[in-house]
Formats: sequence, C-alpha cells, structure tokens
Amino acid sequence: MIVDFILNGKNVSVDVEADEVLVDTLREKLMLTGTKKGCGTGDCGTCTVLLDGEAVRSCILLTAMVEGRKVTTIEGVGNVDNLHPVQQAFIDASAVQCGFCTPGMVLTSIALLDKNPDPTEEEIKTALSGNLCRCTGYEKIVRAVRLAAERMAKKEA
Amino acid sequence: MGALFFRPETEEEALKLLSSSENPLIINGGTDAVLFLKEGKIKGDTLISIASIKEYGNIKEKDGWVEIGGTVTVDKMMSSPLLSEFSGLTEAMDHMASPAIRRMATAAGNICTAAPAADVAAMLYALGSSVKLKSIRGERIVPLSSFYNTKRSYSTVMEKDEILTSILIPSLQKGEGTGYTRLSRRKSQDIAKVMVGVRLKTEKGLITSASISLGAVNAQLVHGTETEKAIIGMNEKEAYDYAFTHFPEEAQLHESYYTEYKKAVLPSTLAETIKKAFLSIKEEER
Repeated sequence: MIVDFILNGKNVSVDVEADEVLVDTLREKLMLTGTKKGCGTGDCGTCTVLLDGEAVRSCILLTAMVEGRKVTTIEGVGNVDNLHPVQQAFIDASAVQCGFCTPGMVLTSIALLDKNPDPTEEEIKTALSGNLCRCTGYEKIVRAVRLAAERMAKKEA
Repeated sequence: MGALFFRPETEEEALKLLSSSENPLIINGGTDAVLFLKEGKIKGDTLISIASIKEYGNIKEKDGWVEIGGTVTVDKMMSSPLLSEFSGLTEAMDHMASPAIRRMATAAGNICTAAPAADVAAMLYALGSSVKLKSIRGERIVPLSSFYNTKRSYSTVMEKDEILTSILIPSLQKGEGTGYTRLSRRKSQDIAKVMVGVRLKTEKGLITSASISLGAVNAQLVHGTETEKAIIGMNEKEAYDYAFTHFPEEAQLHESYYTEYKKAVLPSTLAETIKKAFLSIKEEER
C-alpha cells in the first residue's frame, strides 16, 4: 500500500506492507539510518521520531498510521553547518559517548523545549525517562538540555 | 498475501469491516497490538485503525458519568480537567510506561490487552468503571469487574467483532477519594510487582463503601472483596491498621519468583493506598 506523508518538511510517498513499522520504513526504504532500532519493543527510545511535533516510538508505529502527518527524524534537525541549539548543547556539555541514544534524546529534548522552554531538572528527567542511555549516566544529558534551554531563551530575547 | 490495512472514518464502516473479516485486529494506539503482531503473539490479516473515528476522541461528563472515548490517549487523559479529581487515576497514568508510550497508548487499549499488571486498567477497575462494547449486532455495557477472564491473562469477554468505544467512570461524589500505589524495581518503564487501586466513599470520616483493585498478584485484576467489606464503618486509622495487619487472601496470590516479596508488601501497600484515598478527599468533605 502507498503511504503519503511529510518527512522532514518534504512530501514522500512510499510503498509499504500493512504491518510494516515506521522505523523499518525509515531505515530500509528511505535510507535514513539516524533513527535507530535498539529494542524493537518501544522501551529504549532510540527509535524516537517526532510525529506532528510529539516524540513517539517508531518501532511500534505502523507506517500506515502516519498517512498525511508530519514526521521529523534526526536528519530533519539542523545540519552539519548549522546545528540545532540542542545538538550544539549536547556537544558542548559532553553529553554524547557512543551516540546510539543521541538521536532519540535530541528529538525528545526538542519536543520538550518546544512545549516547555524553561523546564526544571525534574521536568527534563521526566521527559527523558523513556530514553535509555548505557554510556553517560544521564547527568550530562540533563545538563545539555538545560544549556540548550538557556541559549534558546537568550536567542529569543 | 500479506495483511490489509484500513482506516475507516465512521463507526459504521469500522463495524462492517470487523464483522466481515476473518481475522480482524483493531489498531488503536498500537503500543501493545503492533508489538504483539510483530512478535507473532496475535494474528491479524485485516488491520483496522480506529484513529480517524472522531466520536471516539472525546472526554465528557454527563448524567453522573465521565466518559472517555476509545481512542483518547493516556497523555490526553492526563491533561483533562474532567479526570484530574481522580488523583488515583492521575498517579496510575503517571506510572504507565514512558511519556512517548503515553502519547500513543489509550486507556481502552490498556483494558483490552488485559495484562495482569496494567496500571491504568487497574485504577479504572477500582473506580468501578464500565466499558461500552459495540458491534454490528448492537451495543452492550460491561462492568470491568466482569470484563476479564479471571483464570487467564490477556483474555476478556470481548468478541472479535467488537470495538471498545468508551469507558464510563462514575463521577466523583461528595466524600469520595481515590488512591493508587504500584511497586516496581525502576521508577519508569517497568512492569509493576504489586498494584493497588482504591476508591472510598466516606461520610463524617467513616467509610460507607470501598472498591479495591489488586493487580500483578494473579492472572487478572481482582477485587479486594474481603477488605472492602471489612473496612466499612472504619475511619482512616482503623482502615489503615486493618489493611496493614490483614493479608488480603482474596488476592489468591499466584506462585512466582516474587511470591514472598508480594506477600510481604501487599498489606502495607494496601494500607498506604487507603491512606492516599482518604487524603485525596476534599478537606471540607472529610
């Protein structure tokens, strides 16, 4: 079946199986491998994408369900020459080690800051509670989000 | 031939599809259904998304009931002023999985999956909720206390051509309070080892009726029937002390790796949840 949706700001049309999940479509048919497949059960958060601006799990989301909707992957956020403030903050706060959880962490953080530009540490931890990291111990990730929030607020002002 | 996918825009269309398909599978939030489908735990050659059926997407209060539509996500429920007074439900939703799952998952799906440790379902059970089931043959309303196959997990009275169109919760009355407690190893994204939901009705500080759900103790959710009867007429301290010192045998605790742990913690968890329910009663109504 053909599914039409908006991917990183562009219209795409892709032929999928009815029971195909979005992470597989993104990685194997659209060749966007920034979205990772960690657990495949919706638990680890590495498959996180934004669906109409909300962070969701693409490994348990049928591609057919995104018909007509906006999907944002990590490839749709910033670019090498012009990183998103959250991406820059992750680098500056040393919040990246192996990098496997990072796309999911960045997208979840972006979705958080879009809704809540000035989150407390507790709110950041709650928002990221579904994104697992085996490397960092989370402290620097939380600091990165706070740093991004401060920078984005200064830029707004 | 692979599975087929449909996204009906009306209830009528969805019900016709369900009745005419050999192996239909409703996709709501999909957080359980899609996972089980991929793992081969459930079969479905006709996948029917009900996400586009507008009348399933609302929460409303009418005639003494709060009605939650079948496609309302847990995330949407958490921000609904119509549900915020049910503090036990708020806590149960807060414990469910993770924020991303809550944005996709529905209370209806949580009920239909019929897992023995389903947070939202457990609290809705304690609240005395019912569900509306609709098929091409008509509609029926089933109390959650009669919805589950009590001998088997993941098994309910729903027929394969039925949709759970809404959940009905009796509105909170004067003197009522609710509470929920779950114990798990991790703060987030962990299956509960013990779950207790409580709804109390009180008058002048004494319990006049109680509804208690016990989860993750048996194949299915169970009512704490003996404790419910025993604490009628008690005040907060009496009910707390009773629960703390009486193991709820009606839980019929299953043998498992965690049996001794559950035996040890269930009374105190029940006592604490009763206390939470009392604390949630508006001060002027205590």
